[in-house]
Amino acid sequence: MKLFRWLWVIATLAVMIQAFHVAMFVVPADEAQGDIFRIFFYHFPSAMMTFLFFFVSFIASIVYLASRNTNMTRALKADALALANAEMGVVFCTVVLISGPLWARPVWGIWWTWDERLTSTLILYLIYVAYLLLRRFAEGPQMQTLAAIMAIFGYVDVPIVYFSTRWWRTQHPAPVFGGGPNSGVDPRMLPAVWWNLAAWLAWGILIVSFRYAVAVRDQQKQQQEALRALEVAG
Amino acid sequence: MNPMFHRHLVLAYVLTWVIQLSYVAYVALKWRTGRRP
Repeated sequence: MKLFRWLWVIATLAVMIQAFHVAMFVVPADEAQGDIFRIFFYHFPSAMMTFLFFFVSFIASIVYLASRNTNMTRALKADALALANAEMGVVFCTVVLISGPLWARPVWGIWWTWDERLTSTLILYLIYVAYLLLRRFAEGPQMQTLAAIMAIFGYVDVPIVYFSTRWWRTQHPAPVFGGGPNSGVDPRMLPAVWWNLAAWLAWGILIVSFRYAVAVRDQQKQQQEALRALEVAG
Repeated sequence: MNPMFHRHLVLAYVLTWVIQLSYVAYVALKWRTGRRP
């Protein structure tokens, strides 16, 4: 298992370097935007990873709620997975919310606009930050249940973020894939898109697996402390 | 490209890595703290 993890680290770094190289030096500059378009190769994969890791957190939260009264081991694993994926999703969402304005300023002439895509993304970010704050500061046995419910309700915003550019007329462009006749990127750009999607996916899985291990260990420590407290009380 | 816009491109890439590596540092710190008896 340790060998596999190290191989994953090496593979991730190799794909990262290749993805950066393709994004910066292989694909041509955009005809309309020039080199500033290359922000897209970090912005778009980060947005996709946000959706993906929040989705895993959503599923894990459902598993937690479904099994918390019948299978505590599974429930605790699901809870740790929900936490690790929510944190990773927030990290990627932070990247989206920072790289977006840095790209918007030269292209749109403004840093930010309260259009549906940007606003719903900010709301999504705030929902999951609130989720992490709840997990950090709330105590007691109900905290995990409340957090799971929050993750499930919070995930409702993800389809709104995704479809916002189709449902409303937004400043933000249409989805890159499956966004209609006027959307999409130049096919010459696609290698950079695929490489960066693969790189950030590999990176995300690596960090989430590490964070999950830390969360599981924290749970075990808490259980041991609770048992010790019971022994002392008894 | 306008040099100011070039700065935006560099900043976007650098900040992406700063954010990601800060999180890695946070997880590593949590790991280390939890290992102490």
